[in-house]
Amino acid sequence: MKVKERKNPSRVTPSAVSAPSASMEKPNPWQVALQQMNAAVDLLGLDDGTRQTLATPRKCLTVAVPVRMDDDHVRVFIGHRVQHSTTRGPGKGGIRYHPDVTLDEVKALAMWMTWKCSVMGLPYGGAKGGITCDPQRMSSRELERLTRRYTSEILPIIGPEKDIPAPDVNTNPQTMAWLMDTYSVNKGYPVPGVVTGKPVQIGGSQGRNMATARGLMYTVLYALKHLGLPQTGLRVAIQGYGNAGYFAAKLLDDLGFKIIACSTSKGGILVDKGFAPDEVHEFYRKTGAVAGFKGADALTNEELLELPCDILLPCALEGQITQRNAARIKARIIGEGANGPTTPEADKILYENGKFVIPDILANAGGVTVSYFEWVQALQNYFWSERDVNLRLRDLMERAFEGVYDVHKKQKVDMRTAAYLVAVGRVAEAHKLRGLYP
Amino acid sequence: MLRKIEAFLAPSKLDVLRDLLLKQGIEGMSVLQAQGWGTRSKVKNGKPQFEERVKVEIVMDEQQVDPFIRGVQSLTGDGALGAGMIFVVPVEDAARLSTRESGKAAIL
Repeated sequence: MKVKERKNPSRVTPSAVSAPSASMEKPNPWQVALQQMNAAVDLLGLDDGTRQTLATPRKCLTVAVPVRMDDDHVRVFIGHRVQHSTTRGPGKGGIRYHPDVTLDEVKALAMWMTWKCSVMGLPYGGAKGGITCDPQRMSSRELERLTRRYTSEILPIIGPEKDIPAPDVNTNPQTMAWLMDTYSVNKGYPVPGVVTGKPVQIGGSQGRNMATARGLMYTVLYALKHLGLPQTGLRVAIQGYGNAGYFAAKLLDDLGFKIIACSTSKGGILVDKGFAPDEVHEFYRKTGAVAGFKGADALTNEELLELPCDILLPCALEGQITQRNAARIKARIIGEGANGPTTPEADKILYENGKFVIPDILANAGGVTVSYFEWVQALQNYFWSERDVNLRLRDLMERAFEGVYDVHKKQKVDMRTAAYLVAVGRVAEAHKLRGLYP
Repeated sequence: MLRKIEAFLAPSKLDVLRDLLLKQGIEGMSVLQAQGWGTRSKVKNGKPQFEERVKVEIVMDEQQVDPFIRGVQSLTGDGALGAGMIFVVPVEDAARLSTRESGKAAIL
């Protein structure tokens, strides 16, 4: 891969998009995504046509989703499905239900999916969907009706060969089961390959629920090996104790690492001698918080990030490590279990301070990788054992990590830039090979 | 699915390994005397030295593999250089001559 000197770091954004937001406090995710893409396009020396192609989603569908609520009145929600790229394969990406969902956010998330699938070498493009709603205030029946109507609205553009949704924020295997059922009823036959993250009973994959954490664990182990650090005994702090955070704690604890801190939105805990991840999870399940766990010191989410530890795993929300706190991060390795936990400004500070950041599109790609396995199994109607799934995941994570690490060393760039160079380069190359129709 | 374990271990670990297998319900193992060197072997005059090892071969069900490996790891401990290696190999089939059983039934 050839890398050219970046000629104009503050280059003009493509005409298809508006100027970056002036607000530094809450950056527009689409502008952040474009900024990251532009940096890679500049380094790769790609032409302007390719830049515009990569900067413009292939398809953005916005739909009205009318739902009859339990009290019999009708509410109309707004949903989106964006296919950023279908160059390397069908679109792939989750569907989120959240009050803050906007088209710009969904576009950014779809673009990040393109890079994630590309860096992992999966035969997918990138897509994402979302509905602006507050699922915490909706009943299960309302959520089912919402999901089924949204599915029927986006039905023309999804399918096993077109675009394959998956769970994301506030959606789960049950949501995917409703989606699969709605799609199948409309087609007239079962189509398990239309969606991933389904329950195992209807064609889901073994190992899917731990896949993100398992992938994260492998990338941490490969980073430790390259940095010449021991692969056990180190101190780990984890922000977020959901699917990624909890299982990462469990897997690393099994390997002899010391899990010293974790948190949820309601605050965190510190146990200097380390805690048993299962006990804290049980407490979280019962009380809805980890704060208050017996024998633990309380701490805030902000304090957790700055703890003296060896490995920091931000597995909660985006924008957690910023220019305000980056200089105070003490961990040697930061593994991004969440999407976008580090702002571009913080990235520079971490790199200058010699921190090793495993970027989100690589670190948390275990989830989409096992989604890919689920899709392959569904297409074949032949299902693998959990061990098979885990071994294949390990192989793909290792291949992807080593590919990115190689670029990081050879081009002397940070791991995120290296991952983007690999990812954007592959998509651009695929564009070139396929050519332009007509 | 059947898997074969090929483990290279210090001879002193054989007895505890047998106890581990009994505990995990794995019935049988073969032991071969072996000599060899690897990346962690002692080096003399710039050359790695041959060391005495045993090669243990065990056929087991796929689901027994991970608990078995974890068990052996707990026997050898962390960071013990030259503690050994374990390889896991797919096994196409097994046939017990006395009963004419095949596959998983033949080994359990």
